[in-house]
Amino acid sequence: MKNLLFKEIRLCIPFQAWMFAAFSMFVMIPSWPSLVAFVYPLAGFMTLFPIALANRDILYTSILPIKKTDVVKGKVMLVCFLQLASVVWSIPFGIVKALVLAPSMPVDQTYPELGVNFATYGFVLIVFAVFNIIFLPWYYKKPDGRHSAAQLTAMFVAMGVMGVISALFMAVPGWAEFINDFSNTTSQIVQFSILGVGIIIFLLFAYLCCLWGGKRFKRVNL
Amino acid sequence: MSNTILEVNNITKIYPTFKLDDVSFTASEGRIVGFIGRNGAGKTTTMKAIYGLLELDSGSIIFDGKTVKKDEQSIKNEIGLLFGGIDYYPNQKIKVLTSVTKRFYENWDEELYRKWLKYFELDEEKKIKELSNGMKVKYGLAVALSHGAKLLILDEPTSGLDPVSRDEVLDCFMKIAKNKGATILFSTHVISDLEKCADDIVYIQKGKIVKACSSREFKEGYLKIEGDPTKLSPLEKDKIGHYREHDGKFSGTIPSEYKTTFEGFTLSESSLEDIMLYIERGVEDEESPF
Repeated sequence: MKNLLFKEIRLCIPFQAWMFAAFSMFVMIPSWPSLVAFVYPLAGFMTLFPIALANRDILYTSILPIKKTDVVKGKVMLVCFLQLASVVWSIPFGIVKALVLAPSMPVDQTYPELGVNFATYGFVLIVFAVFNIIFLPWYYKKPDGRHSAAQLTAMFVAMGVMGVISALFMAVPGWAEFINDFSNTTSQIVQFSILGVGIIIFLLFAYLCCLWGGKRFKRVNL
Repeated sequence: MSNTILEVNNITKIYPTFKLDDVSFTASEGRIVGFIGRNGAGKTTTMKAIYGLLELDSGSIIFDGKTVKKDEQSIKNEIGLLFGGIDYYPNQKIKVLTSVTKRFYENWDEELYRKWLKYFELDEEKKIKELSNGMKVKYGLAVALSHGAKLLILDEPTSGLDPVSRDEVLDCFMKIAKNKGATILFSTHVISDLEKCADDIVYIQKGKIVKACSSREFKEGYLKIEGDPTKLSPLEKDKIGHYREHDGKFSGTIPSEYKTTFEGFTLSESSLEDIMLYIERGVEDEESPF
């Protein structure tokens, strides 16, 4: 497990993937839907998988003394690692937005925003989980072939989920205001609950990615 | 007789345009097994199957008493696999790729690895893409030989090597088999390599094993024949494979059982290359459009 993650991080992350993951800092931009900043880390996978393909990563990993299904586990870990890195990286920028920038800005009454709070990160993890569960098992059905359909579908569905969440907070009066109220205990409970649900869904879907992706990859003839 | 370390039992794999058909053979400890056949005969497919890279339709593979299905990880730890030369991660340096690879092997011997690097004159600071084909093979061998593998599966390990490097590598094979007791299963198109070091031969043709036996037994099955073509009857000529006439003399290959039929001609030991040509061209003639 540790060796697999080391291998993935040491060999498989191109500069572009780091760069796109770092764009999660855009969460700081005032009056901009916070969730949008997390589309970029997903876009980074558009470069990661083709580069791995060009480096014959699948054959290299399959030759290592690991189970064939662990090849999928390695990539799932890498994807989750980059997603979590983008989340961690965005936190200081999110704090700046939540505590410094947002209070000094006039509240947008027409399109109130989800903002940056614990619930935001719960939603981000749910969006990432949705992307992973669509893309990874699909990709490992035929990992040496075209994968843009899998990636684009996963991206659009993830963006759709982001859109629905953002729209709900804009459409339902008082929701955005409530979720951003750190002084309200009920709001805090809701925020932490959403974050907890996000963490559970993210981990559960990562496990399912390993299971389904591994099952499919086992049938692939290398 | 040494112990059997690898048993390939009736493995079948069906592709839309190719079938690996009921392939069976064994390899014993400390033996060098030459795996031969034409391009597309099924050598690489068989090697991949042994390492568990393919899902078989039927059959089983037993390595050192363990099955690939149940003990995949432990078996991979004891097998060194090399397809041609290393060509993964061309932009990475040798030292980076090794630093990652070695973490996975339980029996990695760093000292031995350093010795192989020195022996093969490999510079760790070089990137994979900067290596010649021969160097890529040598690097692959250095890795495969440094984790105490009991079985080395090498697909075309000598292709792209100059004669001196090839000889060095073959010399290595013999020393590894003799001194370390490792078994080597290697495929090659350079038949002279097999003449130098193969103890056993496994011959595959169109996905089926034609013969799997010791190199000596394999060679004893055929004879080289030469003589005056005017003394050959048409019936006799039909029995000669890979028949050639040159300078008023003919040459060809016959199965040893025809020895008495051709008593008046010069009969000598056949080379592996002649035998391969006899087996392959014989089949080709049967299906020839001419």
